[in-house]
Amino acid sequence: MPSEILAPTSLHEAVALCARYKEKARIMGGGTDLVVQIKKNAVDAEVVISLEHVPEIDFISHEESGLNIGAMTAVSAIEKSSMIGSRCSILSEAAAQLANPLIRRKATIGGNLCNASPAADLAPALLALGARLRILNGDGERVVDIEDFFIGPGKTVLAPGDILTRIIIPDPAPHAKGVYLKNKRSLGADLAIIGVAVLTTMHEKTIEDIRIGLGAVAPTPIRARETENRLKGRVLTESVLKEVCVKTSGEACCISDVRCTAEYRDKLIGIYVKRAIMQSAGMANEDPRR
Amino acid sequence: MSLKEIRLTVNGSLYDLKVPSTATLADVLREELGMTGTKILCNEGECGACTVLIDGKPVLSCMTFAMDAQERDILTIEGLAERNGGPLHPLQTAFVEKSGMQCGVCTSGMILTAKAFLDENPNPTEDEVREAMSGNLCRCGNYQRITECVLSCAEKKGSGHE
Repeated sequence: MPSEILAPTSLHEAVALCARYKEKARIMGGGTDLVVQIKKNAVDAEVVISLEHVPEIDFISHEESGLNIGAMTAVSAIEKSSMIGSRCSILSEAAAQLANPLIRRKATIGGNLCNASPAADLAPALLALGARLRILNGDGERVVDIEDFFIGPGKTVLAPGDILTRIIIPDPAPHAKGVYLKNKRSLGADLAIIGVAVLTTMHEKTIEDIRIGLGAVAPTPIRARETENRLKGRVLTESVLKEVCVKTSGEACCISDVRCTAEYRDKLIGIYVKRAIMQSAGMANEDPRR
Repeated sequence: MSLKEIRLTVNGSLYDLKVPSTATLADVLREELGMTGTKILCNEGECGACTVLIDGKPVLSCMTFAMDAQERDILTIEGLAERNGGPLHPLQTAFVEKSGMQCGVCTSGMILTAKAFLDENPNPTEDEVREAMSGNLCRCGNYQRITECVLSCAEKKGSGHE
């Protein structure tokens, strides 16, 4: 049980604290997952290092590398950002569907990724966008592709002393269109039973490029690369989608949990991927939130 | 467990306190300051009953460490009405007159979330109210009346009020 909350006021100070405490510290973003665990006495750490007051990693900017989002940027800020909305609205859609407005004001993009729930709402969209994650520690910086970041439920490649500082999103193709669909038990706040992010670039009726991120259907959020390869270059028709999407569940590894059985999740994958592709390609007119 | 000296500004007054650094704002408001208008229900950030305003924005006080609320303006339900027995805030009046409360446990959070929302969106649609308040749960199921209370406090301009 942590006995103290340390609140560095600069990234430099935060890095020093993380280097000093290493595995004896848990790093806190917005705390919407960590504080719940602390209250349940489920956090085995001496201290919590809160990044709440570190200004250098709370920002949204566009640079040569693409959109750069600081790890401490609130999910609500991502939801409402016109810079993100105009460049990759798929991330805005994902942010808008995370929990509820009060949680979104506190939750951070860094926290969502580092908590590494297989159902993390921002992960499928960031996978589809090919995001890159910048990680800082006392020895320096490195960049990791998001596809290499998650290694298991609740587990990432972050080592003790590491801080995720920013998420870099290379500019999508100019006419790429993205959709994030989330199936959940209720219209209110809930974790995803399945989360599907699809980014489609069409050339007339042909799928020029397609990227599919899936959440809550495997030990980590995943890219459905086999499905992508089966669709690239093909003319988009309902029957092609039907034929391909029914195999997507083969890339997943669903489990049964309190929210859903594995069998039902399996069935949802093909339906939601097909639905998401049709919406992103402009072939359907459904409200993605329902 | 080390105690931390903190200073909080609550409803316009300064309070110097000595609390564990892991103390949440909700616990400190209730236990140290005796302001029990802020309710703790789920204690996990899922129900919104603990909502207070910090610098005018709604915050889950059960999920916020008290030390992180320093140097900010905290508004609890106790601070909403005019001081010294003055008039209630229009939202409070609406909840009283239009049956916005049943058991009352969600009410503080509902009113403060609504106040912050209307301060930014003075003329919302019903859908916008429901979406903005979707982080506040009512275990009595009084959502329809609560929504009507909030809408009744919206500015009565022509468009947008459906």
